[in-house]
Amino acid sequence: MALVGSVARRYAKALLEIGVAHKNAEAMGQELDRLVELFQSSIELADTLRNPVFPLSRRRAVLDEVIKRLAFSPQSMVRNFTLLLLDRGRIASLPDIAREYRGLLDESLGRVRVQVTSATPLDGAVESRLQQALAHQTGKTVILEKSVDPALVGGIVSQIGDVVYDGSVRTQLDNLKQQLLAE
Amino acid sequence: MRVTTLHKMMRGAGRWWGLGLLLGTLTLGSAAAWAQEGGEHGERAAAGEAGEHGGHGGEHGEGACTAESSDEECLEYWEHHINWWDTDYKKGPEQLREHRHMPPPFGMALINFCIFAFIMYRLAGQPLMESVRTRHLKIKKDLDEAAELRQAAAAKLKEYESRLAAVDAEVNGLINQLRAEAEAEKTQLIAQAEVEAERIRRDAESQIATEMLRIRRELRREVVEAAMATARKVLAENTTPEDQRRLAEQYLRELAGMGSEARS
Repeated sequence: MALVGSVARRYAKALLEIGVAHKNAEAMGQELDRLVELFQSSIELADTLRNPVFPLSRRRAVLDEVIKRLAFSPQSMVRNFTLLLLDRGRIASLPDIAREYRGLLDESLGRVRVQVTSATPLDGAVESRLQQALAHQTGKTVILEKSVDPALVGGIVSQIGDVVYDGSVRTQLDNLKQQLLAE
Repeated sequence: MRVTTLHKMMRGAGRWWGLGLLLGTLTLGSAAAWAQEGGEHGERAAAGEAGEHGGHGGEHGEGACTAESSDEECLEYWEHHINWWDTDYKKGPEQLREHRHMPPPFGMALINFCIFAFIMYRLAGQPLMESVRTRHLKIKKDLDEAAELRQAAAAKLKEYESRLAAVDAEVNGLINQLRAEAEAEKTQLIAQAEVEAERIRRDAESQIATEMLRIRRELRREVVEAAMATARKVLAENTTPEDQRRLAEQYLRELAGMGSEARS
């Protein structure tokens, strides 16, 4: 069962403190992301690690082997951390902890992640100007997480947390539709 | 009352019963004597007096029973005479000839009866009187109850007669009441039907108006959606990279404008 947000946040905060102390918080975040990506891409792996039918020692061995193949750094604490989660039966909450970790790390480094969706791929100049505009808007270093959605027809949509800046043609058409229906 | 008088009479009858019995006996004796006497007068008239003989009735002249009389004459004689006290009535060698066919002495039979009546009075008189009294009381009670029942029946009859007399008026009243109620109900039903019809008409009008509005809105929605789908399709087909750049520029300008507004 997934951890509730506050508990996942406490695990993430503890891991971040270790990462900051060892000055490899960024690398640990990347390793967490790779591990989460692997979990989400392999349902069988996630199910095996969560299934209490298998002995804990076997599951530990499987997780250890997976981590070895991911070739984490020798000083990485992620291996020990994920084995701890497995021992405590909370390995299923790893994606939540990774997300919280990323947020805490960005916050500690003065960064903000912005989901940018456009109808067509943005060229480098527009992307750079958008990053600057958003940095100017938020006062933080902006990391763009880009995606393409042709359903937007045209324009750009940026989302920072719960705030959305919507400049898509689809939304303009929807607004026009609502106005016409409301008349 | 008659019953009460009879009761008193019955209570007094016990005392007088023996006297009545004695009087009856004497009356019987007198009657017998009168009959014998009458017979003797007849015989005197027929045969003249022939002189007295013994303790029994006269045996005079023709019809008398003497030693010389035949058996038929003696039989004829005793058929009309009473032997009061003579005990020589049994046949045998000691019986005198003039006593042939003599009946037993009636006086002795009378005394025997009186003794029997006295004994009966002494032994069975009281229970008999008690029985008669009990029966009398029972009959009296039955008569009283019958009288009460009769009175009750008469009262009931009178009540029914009065009720029957009132039934017609009551029936007429009920009929009139039912007619009035039916009329009132009819009026009420008509009024309710009119109200219901009016409500149905209003509901139908409202439903028609609502349905018209819904259809209009539906039509408008379909038209707008069709127009939007067409517009989206046309824009998607005809938007060029230049248009995309222009849209991006506009977006960046608006974003910058928002930043300026926020700062100001």
